[in-house]
Amino acid sequence: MSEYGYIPEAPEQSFGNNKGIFTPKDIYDLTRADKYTNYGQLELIETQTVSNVATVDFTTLGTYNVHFMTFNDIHSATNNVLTNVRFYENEVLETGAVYQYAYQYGNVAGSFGESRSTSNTRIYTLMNLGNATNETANGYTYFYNLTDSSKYSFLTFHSMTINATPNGNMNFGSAVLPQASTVTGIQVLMQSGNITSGTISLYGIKEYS
Amino acid sequence: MTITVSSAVASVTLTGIDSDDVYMLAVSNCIPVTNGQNGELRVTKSGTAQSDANYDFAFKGLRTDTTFSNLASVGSSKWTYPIGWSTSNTSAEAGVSGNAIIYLYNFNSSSEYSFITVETATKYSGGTLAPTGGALHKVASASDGVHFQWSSGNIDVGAVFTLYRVV
Amino acid sequence: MATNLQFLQKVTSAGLVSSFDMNNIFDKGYDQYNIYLNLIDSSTNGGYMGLRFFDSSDTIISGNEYDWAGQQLKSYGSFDNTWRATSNSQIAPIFVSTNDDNRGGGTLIRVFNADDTSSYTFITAQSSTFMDSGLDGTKTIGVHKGAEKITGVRLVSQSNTHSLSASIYGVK
Repeated sequence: MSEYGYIPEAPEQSFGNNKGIFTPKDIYDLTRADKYTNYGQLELIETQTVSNVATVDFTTLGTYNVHFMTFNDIHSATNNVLTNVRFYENEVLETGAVYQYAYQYGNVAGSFGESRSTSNTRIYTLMNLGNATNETANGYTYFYNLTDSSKYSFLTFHSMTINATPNGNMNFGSAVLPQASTVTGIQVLMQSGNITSGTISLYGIKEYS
Repeated sequence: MTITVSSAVASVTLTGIDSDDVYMLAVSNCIPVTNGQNGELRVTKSGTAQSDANYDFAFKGLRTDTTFSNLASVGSSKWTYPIGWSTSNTSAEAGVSGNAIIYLYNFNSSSEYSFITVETATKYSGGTLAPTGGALHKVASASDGVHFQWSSGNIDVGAVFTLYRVV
Repeated sequence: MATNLQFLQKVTSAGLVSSFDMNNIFDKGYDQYNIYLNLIDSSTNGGYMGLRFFDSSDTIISGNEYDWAGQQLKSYGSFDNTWRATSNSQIAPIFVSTNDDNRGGGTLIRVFNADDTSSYTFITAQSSTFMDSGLDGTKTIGVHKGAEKITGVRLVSQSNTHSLSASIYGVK
């Protein structure tokens, strides 16, 4: 009886180290066991294309240690607001003034500055957004440790938007929910009012031990 | 799409943006033939670089040699500083280059402006410079790619430009 | 032209260490590598982390061959915009001000041109960590001013020790 073409037993299989001859079933079984080498570790979890909603929830996070989220063509119903993020912990939305953030911002007219908070009810991520035609928010966010119950949940982010002036404005920064908890969902919302439209995609970055 | 510069060229154009996804431009080892040049990035529409006066940008200029700079402009004919800022050539200093990660948003939209976020690290005579921030092209029509050149002179051999679709 | 990350290796420290080595993680044929750093714990509050490279002989490069600049973003006070140096013995900060309560933190380090024998190696890094004062973030750039192949990374703890894991990817 051969195993992966070897008689009697094949070498131990692991990601990046596959030896032998594999049937489709072998590949399927090894892939499920995270032992078959398939490249493409930026794994799309979910894309949501939104239309006139107050909040957007991503409640499937998998078991990744690092998540990546992109924001594309976000439009706001309310003028001059930031796009925010907050977390569900064990399915309960954290709405307390417990989030912390810090970011550098700058606009195309030459005004640069710092923004920070040690006790906010949400994390300000994408910069100020106007609500006129062509005023959109775009950017990306990395999340760390969301699914680790013993760790705080951390973010870094980077955005480019058009504010109510209208001027282009950018920011880059970091944030944290300083509570040791399992985050089970990410909520995206505007500082006030609805998200009128946009596309948000969540990815997991897969790793192997 | 990947372009590797195998002999000095005036410019590089990468096209193929044809979906509403976010795209990423990765640039490594980009060197000017002429010393001390700024990078100039433009959008392409139907494969042609656009040189209208509708480029705005805002970058925090992290730098190793002195107080950080604020770089901002409205109504320029290009995005200055992505990929290069006073970048040296290899005659001035062997091993130098400009490198960047640029995310592209809304390029495929026929009704929205084109946006980018930028992280750059580049070497110049006084140290290392890193314009970091964002920019936009204020024309509401679809862009299908980007065009890069140095402010003067050619792009030297060895530069690698790769345009990705984030999927 | 879909982008994706190609997993190369995961490295985990043996508990709290003052130096965290990732040997022979480059030279895999990529123009860019991403290192996702998971901060597990620190021996004490505070401190920061610097970075050095290993050369093609797997020898640590500790000479004054690095330029770097970083912005320390604080939730609890004015940002520190004075992190910068030329011709220094390391690149810093990779992250700043960690805590000793096992609360974690994260950093992305992008590495450019590591495999290139005739180019300097550049990095950008962005982090998020926490100390008792509050959130600390960093946005840092750096360069090793040696035109040579780089094969690995050493992270050096300043004033305390850290336990870490790192997942390394090629960008393809």
